[in-house]
Amino acid sequence: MSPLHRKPFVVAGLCAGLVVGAARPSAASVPDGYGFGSRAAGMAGAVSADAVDFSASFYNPAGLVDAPGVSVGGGYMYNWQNLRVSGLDNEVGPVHGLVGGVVAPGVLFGVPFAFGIAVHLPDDGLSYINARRQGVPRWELYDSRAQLLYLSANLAVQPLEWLSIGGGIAYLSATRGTFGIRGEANVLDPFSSALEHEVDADLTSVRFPQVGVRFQIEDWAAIGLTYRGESKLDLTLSAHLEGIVNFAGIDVPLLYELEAHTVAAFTPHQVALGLSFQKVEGLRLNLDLTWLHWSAYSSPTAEIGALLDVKPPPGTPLKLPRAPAPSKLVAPEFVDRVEPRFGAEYRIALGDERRSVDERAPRPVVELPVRVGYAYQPSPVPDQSGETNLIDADRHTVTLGTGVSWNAPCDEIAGGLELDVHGAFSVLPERVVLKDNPADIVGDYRASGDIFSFGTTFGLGF
Amino acid sequence: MASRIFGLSRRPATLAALGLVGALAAGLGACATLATSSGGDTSLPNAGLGPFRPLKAGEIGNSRPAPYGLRDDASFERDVAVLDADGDPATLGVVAYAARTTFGAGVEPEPSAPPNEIVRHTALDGRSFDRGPPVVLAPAAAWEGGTVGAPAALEVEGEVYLYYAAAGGIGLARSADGVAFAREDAPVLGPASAGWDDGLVPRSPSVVRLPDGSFRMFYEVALGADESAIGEAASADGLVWQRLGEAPVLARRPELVDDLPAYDGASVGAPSAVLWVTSEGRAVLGVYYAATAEDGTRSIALAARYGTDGALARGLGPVFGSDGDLDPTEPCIVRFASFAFLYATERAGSAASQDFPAVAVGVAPATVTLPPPEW
Repeated sequence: MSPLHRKPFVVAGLCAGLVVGAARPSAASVPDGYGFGSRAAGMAGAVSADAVDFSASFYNPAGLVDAPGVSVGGGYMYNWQNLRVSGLDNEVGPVHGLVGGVVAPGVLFGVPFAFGIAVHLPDDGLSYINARRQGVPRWELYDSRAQLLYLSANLAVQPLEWLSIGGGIAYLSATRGTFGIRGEANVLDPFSSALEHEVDADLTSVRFPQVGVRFQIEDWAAIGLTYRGESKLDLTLSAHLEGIVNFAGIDVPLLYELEAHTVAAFTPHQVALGLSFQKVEGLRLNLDLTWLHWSAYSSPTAEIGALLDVKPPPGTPLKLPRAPAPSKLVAPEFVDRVEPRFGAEYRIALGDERRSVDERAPRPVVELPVRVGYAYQPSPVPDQSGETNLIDADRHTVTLGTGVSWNAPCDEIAGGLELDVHGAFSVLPERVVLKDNPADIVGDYRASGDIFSFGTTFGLGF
Repeated sequence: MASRIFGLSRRPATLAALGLVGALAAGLGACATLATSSGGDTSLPNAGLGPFRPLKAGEIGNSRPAPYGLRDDASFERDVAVLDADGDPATLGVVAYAARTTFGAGVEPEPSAPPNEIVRHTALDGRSFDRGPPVVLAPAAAWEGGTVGAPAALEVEGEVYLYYAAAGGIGLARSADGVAFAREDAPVLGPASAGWDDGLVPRSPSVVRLPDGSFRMFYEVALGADESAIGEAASADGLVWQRLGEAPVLARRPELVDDLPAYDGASVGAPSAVLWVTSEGRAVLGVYYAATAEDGTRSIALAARYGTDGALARGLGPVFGSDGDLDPTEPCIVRFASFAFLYATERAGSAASQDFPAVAVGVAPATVTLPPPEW
């Protein structure tokens, strides 16, 4: 017997709660906020002009074609989020999941080309979305966006020796569904109730394009330019409760319908310009500037319509809730932002140089990369002095990374084996929110936080 | 390499790589499909101003039926004024002054009869009020017209100031021990001789003492059969009052708000003033009040101002009673360390047999877990 059979009184409320609780809006994608692959994350994501592994499928698909050979990579990352309001931990969940991908370069009609796919897979579920009432405080950009599947598939070509072009489609997963209950509920004898419930949920996807170009300036610099499209999911969840509530022998027909609509999985248009200076052998100095079109951000508040049709006989001591009053959505009015990112990598060579069987340039037997980075992400969220409480703050991130590369260890692995790790520490400086309305039930507050990240990626190059 | 029309890199290892990725994806996809909550709902900011949820069974003791702290179908106790017994927000002991009606022998209790006694309850836990309360005030003066009610209690330098509504206006009685009261001979605020409430009798007072030691009163004035408004008065000593403003400090909002009828579109009344300081140190004077919409539904709402003077800004929505049909009124708020109690007079139930006033207790934040009842 379903637990729902035992609580017929709360069926309507539960129904509403499930629907509202099942749709959580999110902002941007995991790679945006936490990095994609340990090499890129160790350089604070400043790799738009310098990504040739599977992470290029996110940072700049044009880089795929510069991969020295077929490679496959995979790894894991974990991000502890300690986000606080007025000194109290809001227990925003950690962001963790697996990353991976493959790069397969080749030649088509004499033109170098490459195919790449990459994925971020939350390891505790493919998709979790929630929507809250307007005004309910929430860490808008941190509390759920990690729980979405990200998948990207791209192609790249190199029509000129100094020019690479790539593009493809990225996917984010999200859920949509309905919830229904029908039957007869006996208030005084719940175990004799006969209720059927039905959940119909789909894992659906939103798609957005991404394209990139990469210019190689002789052997000392590269310029990358990437565009990632906007995506959002118009999410509608509905609940239907139809049946008879038996209250002390009195049958009360009841119909309750609820529909919640929200916009979830919002990812803004992004344009990233990356520079990579490579004049000194083994050293990469990278700078990225990413423009994010946050001003297009849609209200995360669920629009709720409810219908309660119940006609208890006169004298029935039933207290019926009023239908939720419709609320006028407040435009979030996010602001477009430019995020600077700096990254550096120095590869320490150990051992003699070795040439692989496929005539690539000779490389040291072992390389130890050391990476550092810094990123500044100004908050796109405006002052929350009004009705909404979309909590956010600027974010400063310092990253470190290292690893080891074993180049061409055998004929079957002409590329090499790579193991990278990264750590990052983000600080969200305190942001004070002063309410215009003294009768605001949330009141003044201060938001701050820090995020600690760790990840590792294993690569295998053929 | 370049001579090939189509080639996938240099080695057949491509297939192996793709196979690896496929196996990885398949394995990972099997990990889970239903995500857990991502959290973020803990310790969120809340000023403790509302919304208030009614107390649930088990949250109130002394055989009081939740959410009612006072519920008597013989004397109709109602309209409480509650004081923190020791002034320490960390402790929950309270003293409550409630109006009630005593009927003579052989007289059928009538809920609409005006109150003729004010009694004093105590509760160790802020809501499980004791029984058999002593009467602390009954009509005695001619101007009272045989009724005393709607008490508003205030502790002033060791004394309890008890303002109350009577037929001729608002009276004041004072007590050193909170039980034996001595009343003023005349109302401290009678009908206005001019202005927007000219000739109208003020009622349902609420008084707070401002940081500068002066007093501020909010009171209800009936403007018609179904409409009232809230006025404001100031006093240096709590005895002599001066009306403020040339209009009600709070009046009904007949206009649409965000294209919807306002929750107080028909009437406002029964004010209850509260002082607090925001977490950023800004002083606020708030007024909870009974709000009646054009459709007749009544709820408790909040308006407030920063500082002590100026217009009152309304909250976005009611803070209590908006989802029921019990018509709450006469709110009173007591703020404790981590939550606040709201006491409001409303119908004792939806059934016809429960159509008499009782005092419901609500708590905010709604998510709070109360300590066990104590009595």
